[in-house]
Amino acid sequence: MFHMKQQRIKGEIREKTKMKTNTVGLVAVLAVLLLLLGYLGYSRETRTLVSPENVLTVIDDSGKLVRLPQPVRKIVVLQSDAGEILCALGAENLVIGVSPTTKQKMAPKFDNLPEVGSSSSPNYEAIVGLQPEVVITYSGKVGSEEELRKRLEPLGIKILCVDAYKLELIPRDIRLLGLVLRKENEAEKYAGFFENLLKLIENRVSGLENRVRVYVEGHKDYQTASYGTMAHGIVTAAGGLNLAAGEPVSYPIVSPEWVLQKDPDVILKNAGKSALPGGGRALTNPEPLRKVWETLVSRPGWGELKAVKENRVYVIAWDLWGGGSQIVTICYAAKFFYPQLFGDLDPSSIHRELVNFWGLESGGIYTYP
Amino acid sequence: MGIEKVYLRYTRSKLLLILILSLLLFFLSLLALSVGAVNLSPGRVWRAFFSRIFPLSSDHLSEVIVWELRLPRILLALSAGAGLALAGAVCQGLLRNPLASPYTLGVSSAAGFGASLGLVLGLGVYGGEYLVVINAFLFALLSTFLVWGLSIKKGMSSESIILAGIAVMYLFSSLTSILQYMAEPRALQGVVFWLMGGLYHATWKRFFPVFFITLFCFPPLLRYSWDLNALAMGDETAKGLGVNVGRVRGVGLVLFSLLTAGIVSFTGTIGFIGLVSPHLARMLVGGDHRFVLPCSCLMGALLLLASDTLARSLIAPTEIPVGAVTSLLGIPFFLHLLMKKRREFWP
Repeated sequence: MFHMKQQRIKGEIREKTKMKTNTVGLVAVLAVLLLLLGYLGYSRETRTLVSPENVLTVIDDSGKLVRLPQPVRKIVVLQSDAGEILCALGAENLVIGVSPTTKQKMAPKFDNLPEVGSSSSPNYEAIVGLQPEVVITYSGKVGSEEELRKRLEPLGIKILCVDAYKLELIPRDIRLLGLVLRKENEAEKYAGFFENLLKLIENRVSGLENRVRVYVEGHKDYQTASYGTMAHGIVTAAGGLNLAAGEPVSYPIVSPEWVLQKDPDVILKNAGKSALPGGGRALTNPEPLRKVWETLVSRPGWGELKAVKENRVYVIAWDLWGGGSQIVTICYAAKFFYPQLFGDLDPSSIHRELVNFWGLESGGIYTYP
Repeated sequence: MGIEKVYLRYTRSKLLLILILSLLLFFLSLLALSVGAVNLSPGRVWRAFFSRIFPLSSDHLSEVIVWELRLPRILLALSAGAGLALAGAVCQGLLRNPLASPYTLGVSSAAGFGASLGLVLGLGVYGGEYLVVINAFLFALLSTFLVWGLSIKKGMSSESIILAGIAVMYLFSSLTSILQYMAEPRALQGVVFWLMGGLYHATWKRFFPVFFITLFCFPPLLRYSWDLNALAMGDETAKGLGVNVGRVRGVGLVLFSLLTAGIVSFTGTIGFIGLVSPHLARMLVGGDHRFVLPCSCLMGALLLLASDTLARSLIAPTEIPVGAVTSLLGIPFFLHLLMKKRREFWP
């Protein structure tokens, strides 16, 4: 009896150990195979896909040196602000791949080009498949700068960081791209357009003592913008005083009581995509903008606001709040803030001029009233 | 004699199942290698793959795409999927709770907070390109210490660990929300992407750490299979069988958090793999942890590889967040499990 039990236990132990050795063996083999693959992948040097002869060295907006081939023939554009500049310089034929937002913003220029992901989430395979010479994105994490540099530069693809969403950098970026693409004349003209307008507005508002007090609101109800944001930059460049400038958070959501207490002189609203899916560009009648305006002024307590009583509440479509279009928004804002001072300024014709630079058709309704 | 034969047949059939799953995984990997944003014919893919093993020639573009982009991503998906599933299986076994996963114990939320600190404020323990990864890892470990500290006073019972885990999860989630509120829209986008998790940044450098962590955590956790089996019958029963419940839970928790932290800090928080894979494994091989643990690894690897391959190829070149695809793939299975309600797989 006992002997049989001993045999059974021994058999079980043997079975357990056999199974354990089997599992361990399998796992070990698998591990070695995977490591081998890893070794083959990691250790072999990859030759570059592109090897240029002529090289131009520039410093881009990330502060790094970039060696660009000359002439540049194949560009992938991951952000629409640079896309605008390229169109303005007449270099759109050099673009071989774009991000979906670039395609949408500059339609129909890039309609036939393949999409390669966005600046924050680029599709490396799609980019590599096109074998570009240069990839234009934003600097920092928002443009996936580090990842792009790490993965594409060993293959010979250059990463150029162009932060053309920052108003103060736009003229520099225009000239940089003009230099790189050998379109310096066009670049001067386009950069000059921005600089002249900004200077004109700045000269007229610099002497003002009593600045217009402005509450600027974004897409979300009661979300305003403080110092360092684009909206703040626009309000300030137009000579206004952003009431939320000192708030600790970039995009604070303020309490309605604060707005009533501050009683701004002018209220600016950025009408978002939910109200205007196609943007101001797609509008043929001002009704959607008017609806946003209507909702705004009928907010509880807003009937008492100075801005509402004096009819100084303005709605501006979202597609004007970014890239080169910021200059148009500044012109509109300046005119709203100081109508007498800027009686001769015509923002819609300035807008037409801008769109003309890009080679696109102008049209659409962007503000209400 | 009869019982021995039955038992042998029982274990052998489980092993066969595991073998079949492994083969399935292998073929899925082959398929995944041929699929991508750039249309490469299978012939080009194979030539490119073998060109580094044998002296074959292949066009350079295919070689780059296969070896620099697709292969590391596939291997990362396999390692991360296996690791997350293993972590899920272990904590479900340790805590006797079918809802236990890296999420419910707060490890994922803490890693997310660490990542957000790096992405939004640029704050971190160690700067440079691994700032976000190291932050995520350290905060994930910190959350485990918190959970440990909170529950050790209550004798490391499963209820106390779960409650502490949920508290820690909410703590770090709200802190992350505050960071998101403070963030510039562009930094915010980075945070959102990280929290959704993704393998699009897969490189060989990211594969090796994930692979090694999973590899090194597997044997010690497998050794605890019998203890986990005993624990499944209740703390008192397990203690009666000679299992040091406190120590098993403690060590298991440490290994679990190392594993999760190590993976999540590289891939972002990919949900559902850790939760669903152990259940799927149990449906196939029963409740014995000697089989559940390896089978969970296989299921996790399968699930993540399938999801990631779909995520990057369905509407290429746009990438669907892999967390969304894992949920969509995992939910039908989950519901199936719910409908079937086979209680014998869950003690």
